[in-house]
Amino acid sequence: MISRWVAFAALLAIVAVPFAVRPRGAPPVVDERGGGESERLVIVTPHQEPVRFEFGRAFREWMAARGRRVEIDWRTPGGTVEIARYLASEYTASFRQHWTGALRRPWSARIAAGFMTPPPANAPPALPGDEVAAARQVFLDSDVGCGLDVFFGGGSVEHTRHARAGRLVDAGLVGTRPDLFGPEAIPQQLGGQALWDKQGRWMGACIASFGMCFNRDTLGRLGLPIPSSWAAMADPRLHDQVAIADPSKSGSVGKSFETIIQAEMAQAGVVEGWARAMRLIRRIGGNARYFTDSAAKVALDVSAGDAAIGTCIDFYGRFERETLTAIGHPERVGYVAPRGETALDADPISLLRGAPHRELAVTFIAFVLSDEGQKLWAFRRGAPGGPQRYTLARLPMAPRLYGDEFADARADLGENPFNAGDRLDYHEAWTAPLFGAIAFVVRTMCVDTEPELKAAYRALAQAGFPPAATAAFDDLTLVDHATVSGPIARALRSVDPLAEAAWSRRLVEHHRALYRRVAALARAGR
Amino acid sequence: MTARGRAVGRRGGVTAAAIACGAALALFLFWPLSESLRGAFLDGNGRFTLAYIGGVFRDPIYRAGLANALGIAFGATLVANVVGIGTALLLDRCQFVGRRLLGALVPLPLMVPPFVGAVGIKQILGQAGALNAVLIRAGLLDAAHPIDWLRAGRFAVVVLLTALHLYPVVFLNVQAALASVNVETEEAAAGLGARGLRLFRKVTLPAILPSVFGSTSIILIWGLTELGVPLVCDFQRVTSVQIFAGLKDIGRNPLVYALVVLLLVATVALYAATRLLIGRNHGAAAVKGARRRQPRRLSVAGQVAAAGALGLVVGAAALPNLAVVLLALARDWYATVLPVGLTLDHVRLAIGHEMVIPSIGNSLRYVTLSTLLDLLLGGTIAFLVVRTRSRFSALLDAGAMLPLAIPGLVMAFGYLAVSREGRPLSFLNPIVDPTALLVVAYAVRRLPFVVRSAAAGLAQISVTLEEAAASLGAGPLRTLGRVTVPLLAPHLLAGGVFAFALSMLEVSDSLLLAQRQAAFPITKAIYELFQSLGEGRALAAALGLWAMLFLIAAIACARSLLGRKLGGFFRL
Repeated sequence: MISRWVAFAALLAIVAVPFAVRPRGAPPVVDERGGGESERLVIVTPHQEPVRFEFGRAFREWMAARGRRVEIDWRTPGGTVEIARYLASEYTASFRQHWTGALRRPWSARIAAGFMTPPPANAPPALPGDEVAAARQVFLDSDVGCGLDVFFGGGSVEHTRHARAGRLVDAGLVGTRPDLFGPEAIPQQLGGQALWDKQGRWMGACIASFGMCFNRDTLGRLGLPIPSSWAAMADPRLHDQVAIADPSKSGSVGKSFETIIQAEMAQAGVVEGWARAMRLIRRIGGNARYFTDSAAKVALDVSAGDAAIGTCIDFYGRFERETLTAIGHPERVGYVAPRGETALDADPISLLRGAPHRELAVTFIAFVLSDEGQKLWAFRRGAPGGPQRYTLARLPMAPRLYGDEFADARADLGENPFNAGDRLDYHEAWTAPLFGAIAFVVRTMCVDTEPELKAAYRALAQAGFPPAATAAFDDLTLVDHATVSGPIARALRSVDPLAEAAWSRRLVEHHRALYRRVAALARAGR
Repeated sequence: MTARGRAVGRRGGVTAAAIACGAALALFLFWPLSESLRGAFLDGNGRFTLAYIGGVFRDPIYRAGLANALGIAFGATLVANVVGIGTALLLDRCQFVGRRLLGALVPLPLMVPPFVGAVGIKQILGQAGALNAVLIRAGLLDAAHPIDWLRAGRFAVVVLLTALHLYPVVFLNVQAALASVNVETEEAAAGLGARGLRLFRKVTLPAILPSVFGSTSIILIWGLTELGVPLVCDFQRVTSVQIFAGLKDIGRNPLVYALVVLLLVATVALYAATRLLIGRNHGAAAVKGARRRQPRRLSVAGQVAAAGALGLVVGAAALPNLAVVLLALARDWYATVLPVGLTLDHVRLAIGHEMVIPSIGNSLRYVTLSTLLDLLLGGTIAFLVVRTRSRFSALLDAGAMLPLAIPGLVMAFGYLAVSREGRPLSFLNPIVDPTALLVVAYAVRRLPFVVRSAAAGLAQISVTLEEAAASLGAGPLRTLGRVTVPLLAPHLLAGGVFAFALSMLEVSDSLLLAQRQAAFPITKAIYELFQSLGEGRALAAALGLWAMLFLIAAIACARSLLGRKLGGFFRL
C-alpha cells in the first residue's frame, strides 16, 4: 500500500515540477485564440521554431511601438507537402460550401478536381456551360478563405504552384512599394530566378541557396579533400556516406537537384547536360546513405558523424556550424556552396485568398521585407536590430544588407548572392517544365531502387570501373531527355493516376534489372 | 420491480449500451477510416476500381516491402519470445542478487518517447557513437575504420531493435501466466518423474501457451506496422516506411492507400487467426488461491550468470533510455564513450521554452479527457463482450481492437476529412480548437488496452456475485454500481493509467491534428524541437527525459495496482 502511494506521489511530483521550477521571466502561457484586445494574425508555415520565435517577437514589438497589440497564431501542420495538402483540402471544403450553399449549385467530382487546376497554356477557350471552368472563375473572383492569413516559407516552386491554383492573391505591395520592389531595392530576377511574382501573389522573404555540408573528421578519415563541386559526392570512397534528401518529398530539395542539372546544362547544353547530370545523380545515389524526407536530418546526421557529406540548403549548414562554434567545435562541420554551380531560390511569403485579417497580414509581409525584418535573417543574435535568441544566418533579400556598413552585425554568411561570380544563372526554360518529372525520375532511378543501385556502384568501384559494366551503368534508356520531357511528363500530367503508377513500375523494374546486370558485369571484370 | 421486469430492463440496457458503443465506433473509427481509405478504390474520375490493389501486387518494390515487413514481424516475434519467456522464467524461478531491480527495469523500453528513442539509438550505434568509441578505446577497432552498425546487416539490426523494444510485452504476459500456474501441478508431475525440459514442455508450457499466443499476435501486428525502428535505420523497403513516405509524397500516389488496405487486411487476418487459435477464454487463466512456487536460490556462480544474462538483456534494451538521459545532460557527445561535460542547460532551456510548459498542460488536458472516454467506452464494451457473448458484442470486441492495426497517420487524415468545414463533424474542426478531436483520436487509439484490461478483470469476477445481487432485488444499474464496478475498479484504474501513459506518447494524431502552437501536445513539441537544428535534439531529449520519468511513474502506479497482471494489457 505504501509503495502505491509513493508511486502516485511520484507521478504527481513529476507533473508538478516543470510548472514549479519554471524560470521567472519565462514567456507566459498564452492561448493565442484571442481574448483581451490583441489583434490576431494566422500564419501557416514550414519554418522552424527559431524563425517563428524571432519574427513573432520582433513583429509584436514593432507593432507595439505603433500602438497595436498583436499576437501571431502560428499553424504548423508539417512541411511544405503537408501544408500543400492541408491548403488544398481546406480550400476545397470552403469553396464547396460556397458553391452549394451561397450559390446553390450542384457539386461534382469534376469540379472538385478542376476548380483549382489552371488550364494548360495552350488550351482552347472553355465551352459555354463547362461547369469546371465556371467553378474556377467563381473561385478566382471569390473571397473564399480557410481561416489563414499568410503562407510564410516553403520555396518559390511551392508558392508558384499555390498561386497558379488560385489560393494566393495579390498583397498589393508590388505595385505600390517602389522602396521594396524594383532595381534600387529587391530586383524581380537574380541570375534568372524570380525573386517575386510580377502579379504580387508571392514575394521572396529571403534567399536560399544549395550546397553541401560535410564532416571534416569523416572526410579526413576517408582521405578526401573538402568538396568544391557536386561531383565530389560521386567519389566511390564515399560509399554509404552521402546523406540525401528525397526530391519527391520537398520542393526545396527538388530545387537542389534541378540546380545540379542546370549546372551540367550550362556546360554541355540541354540534352547532353541532362545526360551528364543523370549519370552524376546516379553515381551520387550509388553512394547514398539514405534519401530522407527531412532536409534538416541531413545536416544533423553530418554534424553527428553519421554521414560524411550531404546535400543541404544553405542555412541548415550555417546554423549547424553556428551551434558547434558555440560549444567550441567550429571545425567539425563545414558548408560549401559549389562556386558557379549553385542556383538560388527565393523563400517567399504570400497572402492567402480570403485572409480574415488582411490588413494585418499585409502589414506583416511589409515588415518581413523591410530593413527591420531583413536584419533578422542576416544579423548575429544580439547585434542591434538583429535576432535576440537565434542567429538565423540566412541570406537576406535586400541587397543593401550585404554592404560593408553591416559587416560587423552580419552573421558569417559566406556568400553574396548578388555577386555574379558565386552563382549559377538559372534558365527557367531548361528545367522548370520538368520540375515534377525530375523528382519522379530521381525517385524511380535512385530512391526506390536504392539497394540495387548501391550494390552495382559498389561492384563497379571495386572492379575498377571495367568498360562494359561502366557503359551499362551510364546507359540512360527510359530516362534520357526526350523520354522524360515527352511520355513521362505527359503521364505525370494525366488525370489518371494509374498512368503515373505504370511508368513508376516500368522505371523501377528497368533500373533494378540494369543495376543487377551492371553488378554481374563488374564482378566478371568486364 | 419484478424479476421479469428486471430482466427486460437489463436486456434493454444492454441493447442500448451495445447500440451506443457501436455508434461511437462507427462514428469515430470506421467512418474516418473509410474516408482515409476511399482513395484506394476511386479512380481519377471518382469511379470504383480495384486497379490500385492489383497495382501493389504487380509492383516489385511493394512486394519486397511486404515481404520485409513480414520478415521483420516474424523475426522480431521469435527473438522477443525467446528473450521474453527466458526473462520471465528466470525471474519467476530463480532467486539471485539484483533480481528485483532488474525485474523492475524490464518494461523500460516501452517507455522511451518516439523520435527521442531514435536519437538515443543513433547516439549509441552511430559511426561516431558510443559503441564504436568503446571498441576503439578497448583496442578492438581501428579508429580509421569504425563500424557502421546501423548499416551493416540492416535487416538483422531492425529485427533485433524491434524485438528488444517489444520483448517486455511477452515478458509481462508470461510473467502474469506464470503467476497463475499452480505449483502443485508441477510438483505432481515432478513426483511422477518429469524433470527439466520435459517438465517445462509437458506442464509449464501448456499453462503459459495462451499468454504466449496472445503476446505473439500483439508483437506480430506491432512488428508489421512498426515505423520508428526501420525509419531510424533508414530501411526504406518496408511497407510501413513505404506508406509513411508515400503519404508525404508531393505527387499523387493512390497505391499508398491500397498498401494501407493490404496492411490492414494482413493485421486483421493475424488478429482473427490468433483468436481462433487461443479461443476466447484466455482472460480467465488466473487461478485464485493457487499456491505459488517460491523462487530457488542459486549458487554464487549461478547468481552471477543469471544476473549477468538478465543485466545484458535489460541493459541492451534500455540503452536508448540511457542515451536519452545522457543526451539531455550532455554538453557535447561525439565520438566518445560518455558525454564530454555535463550541463543542466538543456533542461533549463527546455523548461523555459515557450512551447514546452503549455504542451505539458495541453497533453494532460487532452489525455485526461481521452482516458475518461476510454474508461467509459472500453468498460462498456468489455462488459458486453464478457457478459453477453452475442455476435454483435464479438464484432464490437474486434472493432475495438482494430486501432492496434491501423497506422496512426491514416486515422489522422481520416479525422481531418470528417471534421472539415461543411462536414457533419465540422464542430470538431481542429483548426478552431483541436481538443475535442485529439481527445477522440487518443481515446480510439488506446481503446484496445482499456478493453483488454477491463475484459480480463471481468472474466475474473464471478458472475454469481452479480446474480446474487440481482436475486436480492438489486436492479441492473444498482448491481453494476455496487458490485461490478467496485470489483473491476483496480483493472479500470490500471487500464486507465496505461492508456493515459501511452496517449501521452501518441505521435501521428498529435502531429497532424494539433496545428496551433498554443495547442501543441507534448509529442508535437518534442517533434518540433527534434526537427530543429542546433540544440533542438538536446532540448527534445530533455523533454523526452521528463516524459520518460512520467511514464515510469505511471507504470509504477499501474504495477502497484495490478502487480503481475500487468501483462493483461498486451493480450488479444
